[in-house]
Amino acid sequence: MGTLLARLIDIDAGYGRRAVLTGLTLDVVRGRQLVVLGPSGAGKSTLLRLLTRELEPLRGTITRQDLTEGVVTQDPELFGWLTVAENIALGFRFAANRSANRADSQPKDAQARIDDLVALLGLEAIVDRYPDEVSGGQAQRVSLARALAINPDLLLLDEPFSALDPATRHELQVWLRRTATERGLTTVLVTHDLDEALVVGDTIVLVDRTGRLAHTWHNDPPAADATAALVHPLRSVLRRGYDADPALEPGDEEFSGFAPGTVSLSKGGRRG
Amino acid sequence: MTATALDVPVAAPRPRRAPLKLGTWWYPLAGIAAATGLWWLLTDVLFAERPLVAGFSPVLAVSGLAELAASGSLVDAAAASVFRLLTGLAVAFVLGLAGGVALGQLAWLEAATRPVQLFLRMVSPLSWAPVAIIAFGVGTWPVVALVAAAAVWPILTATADGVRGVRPAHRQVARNLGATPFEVVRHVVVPAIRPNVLAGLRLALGLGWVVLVPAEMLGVTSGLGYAVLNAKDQLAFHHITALIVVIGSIGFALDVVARWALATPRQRRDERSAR
Repeated sequence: MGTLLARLIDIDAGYGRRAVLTGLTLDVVRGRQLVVLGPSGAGKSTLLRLLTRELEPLRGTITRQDLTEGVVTQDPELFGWLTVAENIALGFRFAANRSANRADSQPKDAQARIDDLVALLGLEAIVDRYPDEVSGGQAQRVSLARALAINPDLLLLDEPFSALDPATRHELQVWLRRTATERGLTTVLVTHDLDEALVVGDTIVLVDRTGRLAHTWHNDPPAADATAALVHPLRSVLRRGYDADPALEPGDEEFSGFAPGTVSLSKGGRRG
Repeated sequence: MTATALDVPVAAPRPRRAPLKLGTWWYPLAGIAAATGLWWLLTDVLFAERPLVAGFSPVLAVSGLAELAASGSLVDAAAASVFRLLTGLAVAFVLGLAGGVALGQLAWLEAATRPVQLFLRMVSPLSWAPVAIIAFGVGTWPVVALVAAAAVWPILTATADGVRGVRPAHRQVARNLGATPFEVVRHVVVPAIRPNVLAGLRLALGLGWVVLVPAEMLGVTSGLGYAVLNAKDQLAFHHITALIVVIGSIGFALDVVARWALATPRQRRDERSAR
């Protein structure tokens, strides 16, 4: 078990008096790639808003470290009046403003870090372009670079690839998982796409239609191809419309050591 | 070889007409030349026998311009008018921007003040002339007040629209990147509303300039409006024409300067690449 960045205990959260997440208990662990899988309206984005403190829970306890979060949403939300390079550098500008009074935290290596991110995301050819001059996939890469530029403790991704074409989507999913693993990033991705969850996440939690955490799966190593996803036991859960499979007791299933083409499920022991 | 559908002879595409290869400056210059030619045709050819019309001839206007310039009164009048315009615009800009930001941010304020705004916008700025003279006396300041009264509305409306149009997601992105509330305004709200404010300012500039000239006919003794009135009293039609040309030219130049000064780096780059 790694360092705990945030712990949510028995959380109800929603808007007004209406709770869309109910009784949620969840740990966010440093260096892990957590995926929250569930249908639309299950409260996945609400969970991210709790983690960014945009939203206070209706009930329950959230304990968390003092974190810097990078956020990537379905719409890249790039600033249209800034070039790609300026969009990426914006977080540095804010940090520089703050460190003007704090000599100890001057971001001396800002340009080097921007260059590193530009290279990491393959944006060299478009750094001087404006957002409306780049493709959807490129815009989402810029959004990722912008979020990573502030060196976040926690990268929160709200269905970031859902508007992209399948090939670009898969390419970015694989890139994200590889980069997160190599750089030790902590990510929380919410999605309704099982394939994406299996490619990106090392831990997958399923939130059902009522906003309850129905299953937790350990997906390590991640699914490398679609074949794995096709036979994954979560598929049956999704076929039932995201409702928990009564054959599986909610909340305590463990799915470890997944290898493409095999299905194994542990529940205390292991079921094959 | 068997014939296929692809072998069917098709008509050769018509050669397209080559686009006109004229420089960017030729079109406006041609437009100015055509307008001047029409002016000359009306005053010097078609109605040349009518002295009142012929007095407004472009040929006479050139000599009138030279006379005014030589006397030094043209520069003095233009300087006084531009000062009043810019001062009135500055007042309108401060009030319009502050009011626009407040109206854009606070829906209740917009709802509460909308009827009064509409009422005031529909009143001709020159209607306030007696009020301005009572409040500020005779001279430069009532003229400045009238310019400001005309120019404030486009800036106010455009700014309020701009602020309402700022995407909440952009504000949130900035906050997520660590921006303070001031930085959100500086780096998100200000650039986002800049095109609106620019459009409002250009409109205000035109309105202010249009109001300035008649306002300077109300009890002041300097400025281009006063000079036009003075020339009319002296029946110096060629001076009136010359002054009208100067008024239009200064308005044109101010618009060009405003567009250049307030352009975003993106707009400057696009303009360069379009040349």
